[in-house]
Amino acid sequence: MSSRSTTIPHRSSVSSTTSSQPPQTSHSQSRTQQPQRLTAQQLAERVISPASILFPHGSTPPPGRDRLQAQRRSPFPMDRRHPSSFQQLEKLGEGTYATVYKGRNRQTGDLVALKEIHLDSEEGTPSTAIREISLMKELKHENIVTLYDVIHTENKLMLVFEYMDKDLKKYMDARGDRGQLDQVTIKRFMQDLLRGVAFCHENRVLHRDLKPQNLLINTRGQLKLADFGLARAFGIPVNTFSNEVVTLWYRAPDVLLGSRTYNTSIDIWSAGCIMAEMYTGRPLFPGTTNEDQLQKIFRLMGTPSERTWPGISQLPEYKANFPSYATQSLAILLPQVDQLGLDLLGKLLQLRPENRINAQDALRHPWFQDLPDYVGQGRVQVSSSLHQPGQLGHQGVVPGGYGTQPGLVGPGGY
Amino acid sequence: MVDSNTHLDEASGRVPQSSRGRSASTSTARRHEDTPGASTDAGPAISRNESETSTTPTSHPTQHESPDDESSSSHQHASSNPTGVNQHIRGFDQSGFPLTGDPRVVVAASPPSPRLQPTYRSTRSLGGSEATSPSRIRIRDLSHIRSFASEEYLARPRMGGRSSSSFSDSGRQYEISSMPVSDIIEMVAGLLTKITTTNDRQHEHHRPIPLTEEQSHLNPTASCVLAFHGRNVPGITILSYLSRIHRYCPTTYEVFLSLLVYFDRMTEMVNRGLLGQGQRRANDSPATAPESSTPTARSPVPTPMNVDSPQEQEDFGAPKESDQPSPQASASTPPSGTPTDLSQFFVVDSFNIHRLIIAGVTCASKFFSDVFYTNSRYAKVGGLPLAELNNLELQFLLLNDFRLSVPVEELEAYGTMLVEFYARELVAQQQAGHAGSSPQSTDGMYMDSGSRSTGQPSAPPTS
Repeated sequence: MSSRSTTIPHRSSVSSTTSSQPPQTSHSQSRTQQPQRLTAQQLAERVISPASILFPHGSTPPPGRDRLQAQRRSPFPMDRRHPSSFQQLEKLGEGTYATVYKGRNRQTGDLVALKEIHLDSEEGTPSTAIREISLMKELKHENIVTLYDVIHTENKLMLVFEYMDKDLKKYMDARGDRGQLDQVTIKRFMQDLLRGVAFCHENRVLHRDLKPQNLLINTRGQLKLADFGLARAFGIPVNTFSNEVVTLWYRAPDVLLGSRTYNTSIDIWSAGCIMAEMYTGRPLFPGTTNEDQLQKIFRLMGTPSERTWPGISQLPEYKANFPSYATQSLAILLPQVDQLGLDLLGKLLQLRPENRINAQDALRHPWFQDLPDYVGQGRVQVSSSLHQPGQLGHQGVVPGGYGTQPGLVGPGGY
Repeated sequence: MVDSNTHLDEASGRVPQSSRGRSASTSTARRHEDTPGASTDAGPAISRNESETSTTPTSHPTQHESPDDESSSSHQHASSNPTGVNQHIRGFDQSGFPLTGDPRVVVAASPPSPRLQPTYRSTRSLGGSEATSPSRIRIRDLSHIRSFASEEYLARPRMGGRSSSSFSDSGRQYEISSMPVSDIIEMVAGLLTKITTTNDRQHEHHRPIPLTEEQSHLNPTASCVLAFHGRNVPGITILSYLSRIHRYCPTTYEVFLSLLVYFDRMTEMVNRGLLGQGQRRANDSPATAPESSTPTARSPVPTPMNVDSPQEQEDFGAPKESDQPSPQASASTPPSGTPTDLSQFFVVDSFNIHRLIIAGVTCASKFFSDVFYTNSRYAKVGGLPLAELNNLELQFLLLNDFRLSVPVEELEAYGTMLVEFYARELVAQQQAGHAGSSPQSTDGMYMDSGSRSTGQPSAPPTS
């Protein structure tokens, strides 16, 4: 019996609250009689949580804790706003998971995008929403769409995003010559894209669904990453990755081959596909199936082998009888791209994930060197020349990228 | 087996949930093989629960189910997943994954984004990071920790009466990602058990009681917190509960480890906020309370209703003797919103830990892992109604400010400290065992599943 007090029974609560432990009973009785004597402070101090035991006085608090805590505001920041704080304007897109409306902040008059997420009873809160909110609350960057707020009502969540004019796909259709953009714009967009991607990767987040519909352009001509519904944190050593990620046309060959150990390089492949698409106005690898997608890639990049890609034969979807293609020159397919651009593109579109350039290095590529080093405001002047004014009222624009996803109403989404 | 289920369902007045929830374990066997430790550690605990505490209304029916919609995406490629099926869990992706040969993938329009779906794929470990420095020790399993603890114990007598804190002083890092998940669960359970036990003792007379509507308006966090509070202590140990969850909803270790982080954050966020509020409320200004769009929206169907529902007891198994009594009785003086009332504080105790765990696992799985399940499955496995779990999930997210990200360093620090905690407990037990001349067999330790699998769940574990 004496040893019992040192043990940690798995559920001693009831026995201890009823009869078995005299000292404590008497203690609690005395407290019960005068509960008012205890202040909330005193009571709260008695509460223990995992950290009270794991990180007792004097031991180092977990790193990163402060960083996150600092970002946390008052207990219930979401409660400060009410759905009625926003005037709901026209619908921008709809899917089975979410509906995006244009909205206006009644107080400030600012435009916002309101993404309504329906809470399904079978699934509960969609994992897409949990990821998107959790990750975007931490990822604050000029090239990532800002999540202002999360409002919870009876049976839905409403995410309040910064308003963006249109997605890159729409932008190309509207602005470009048969979808083709000019070199200066492409270079700026690529810089924005890679900056956003680099920031994600520095913060150990994989986007996993980069494509024109998920890249949003504002009226100042800035490009920002949106739709983090497929994103996930990485860096935790052991984990399971799904290979059912990234929209087919932008999916890296290692993922297509069934790899589950991919990393940041899958976002880089997507960026390469997007760069080429901005030049041509057409998707670089518009595959119809997994196999067709691989074949389209191999036809251009050459069929990889164990020699060019050690370990490839171990990947689940690898087949020894892949049609054998020779490597084509990107310059032939994309004559409009300058030499430096082709060099960067080639580094982004490496078949073997280990050979792909990372976002940080890509940003240092000489191709970007002639780009005026704008920051924020400096961009306005540049972009205003590129845009027609008054695009806010643009009829029928369906900003994608907010993640409503597609389907019939309009591709992409917040 | 079937009988016991029928009985349970009758008793609780609940109809067994339809095939979807029962589809649950279509691939239990499969998962089993792939999930480290699940077959060894979780097995006995769960079967014991089934027979003795009747807490697993779901486990048997699930075994009889044939694979249905949800399982089809797991091992076969998405291409074989009929798109029409299971649209409801598909997220917003109207045409599903870009399926092989799917006629809807038209070249003219970009194919849709893939969507992560609830899945039945086995979890699979990919191997841990390399141990990078001598001070970084990769723990293999619990016996590895036991070997540390034994060394520590042997060294102890020479160190006088000093408490077993030298683990914390070591500056060592323990890498737990290569441990079997079931071992990590055992450490987490040990810690949570210690916490709930401690908090139970200290706050037994502060058992939350239902808030009046007025009160919940004043303090939305309170109804969030109260949503987790059960009237009874569920008749399943924390370890068994975690093991059960891992058996039927296998996932990676971060999910279980992160629970500790979330509980800490919730404690801090709620209690710090309450203390601030309490001070402000001295001036009696209800206006300082947040505009409660959130939790109070649900207050007309107050959480206590859920908590008191009769089926409750059946969900978690036989209620303890404290059925109606003491804790509530002692706290039956109306809390009246005074700051002296702990009922509005977030306190992890035996009355809420199970709900906190199942809600936390549900959220964390969806955040951390590409492998997760439908809420109906989590509800089945957790032994609570789907509607309640849905609500708890939302409350859990709210209490975490929807921020589930955990920096890797933080998670690793928790892992290290968890190992140290476990080792400290082992040392303490060895000392206690020595003093009480109980056998020093490591199998007798309280956190080891071996000792419990033979005992009544309600019996205090031997030491």
